[in-house]
Amino acid sequence: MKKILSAIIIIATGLLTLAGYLFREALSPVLALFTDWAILLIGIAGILGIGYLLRMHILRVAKKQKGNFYSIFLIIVFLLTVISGITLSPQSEYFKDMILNVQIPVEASLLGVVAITLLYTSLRVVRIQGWTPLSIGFLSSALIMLILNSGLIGFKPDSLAGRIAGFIQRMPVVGARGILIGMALGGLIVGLRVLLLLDRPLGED
Amino acid sequence: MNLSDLAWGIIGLILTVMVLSYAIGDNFLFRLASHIFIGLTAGYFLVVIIHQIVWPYWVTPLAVGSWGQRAWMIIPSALVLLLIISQFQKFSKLGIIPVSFLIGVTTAIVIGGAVFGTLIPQISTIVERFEPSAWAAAPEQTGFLVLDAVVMLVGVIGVLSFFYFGRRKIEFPDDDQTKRPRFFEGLGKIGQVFIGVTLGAIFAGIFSSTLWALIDRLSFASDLIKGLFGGT
Repeated sequence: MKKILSAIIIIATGLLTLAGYLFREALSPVLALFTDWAILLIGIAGILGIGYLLRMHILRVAKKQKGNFYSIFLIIVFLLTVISGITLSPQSEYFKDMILNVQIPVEASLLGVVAITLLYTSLRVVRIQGWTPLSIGFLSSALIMLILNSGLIGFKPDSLAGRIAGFIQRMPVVGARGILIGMALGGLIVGLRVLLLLDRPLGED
Repeated sequence: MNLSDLAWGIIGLILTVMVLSYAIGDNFLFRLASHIFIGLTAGYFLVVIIHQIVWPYWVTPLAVGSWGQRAWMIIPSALVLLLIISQFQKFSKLGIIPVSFLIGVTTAIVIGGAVFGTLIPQISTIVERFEPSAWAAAPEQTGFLVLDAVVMLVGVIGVLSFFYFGRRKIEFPDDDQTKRPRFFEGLGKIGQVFIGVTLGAIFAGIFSSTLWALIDRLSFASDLIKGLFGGT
């Protein structure tokens, strides 16, 4: 019963939404309605997720488990943010100041840490992967792009050197386009398999 | 610098030092900064979800909408209630209805996005590069434009060949089951080079920006300390 109900809902909502894409003029209200409901459900799922996170930290504090000191800070900062956000609204200058003055330093510093890690990992690529077409392409492209993007070497756009540099800078677009088309084909196949019930995302048999 | 800027500046400096302390290994300061960051981000997400999703998509139509709008809100309200109730062990099976609805809608959106948002525009762009009128418009660059178009086509076919996951019919029991047909294997090698080039360029971009972020943080810290202690 559970399996049949799930299949009916997936096929009905999936085909109706897809029909909304294909017959936009006639079925756009259905597409908009279903999308709105999906956004609401995803939002509620997000709230439930945050609830679980908070519950885990409250339990850690209550049971005095390892790391409860950090959880106390997490809960205090969370409550402060929620209370100021709800009382002041997310558009308030004070609220924005509070969020940005914590987010920017932490995120920028984390990016700084990532820079060091990236440098170390890139040097290990050849040792782990060996000299494959992928690693050769990766390292040569990274090096050339770092030099070209640094602005140390200037080219006149109309000169032969400028055209060659432009051609080299366009090369990554080729692979990106192939990856995008590959991802889209993969998404299309998985989507069709779900709609045709060949795959069961809920895992019930 | 007013008092508020100074206070936020000092908080920013402390957080910067706490996060950058990770360079000497995982430690108390880094873990504290990450928990503060998670708490703030979770709180911010909750506020944004309430203000930008729950309020306009659920509360407003129910509170001030017409009777027709309110009637249409019965289904999403029921789905939301089922999703919430399903979090209790006893009613967990009820969650299958809202989750199936989400799977159906997101699957259709993925298919629609893949076809109309990626496949058609990307393939059109590749085909348009072989437009003779575009080559004729810039005769001095025809060679480059033709080379560009050919490299684009060969590169994309190569990358897609690398993603070829089918395998040939096994004729002999000793056949390598993971090996692809020779034609796709060869094209896949070309594809690997292009994937490597793309990932390398992405790496260069990310590395440059992260390095800038690190320099910006260090310069911020140095400016604030100079400001506080009256240095130049």
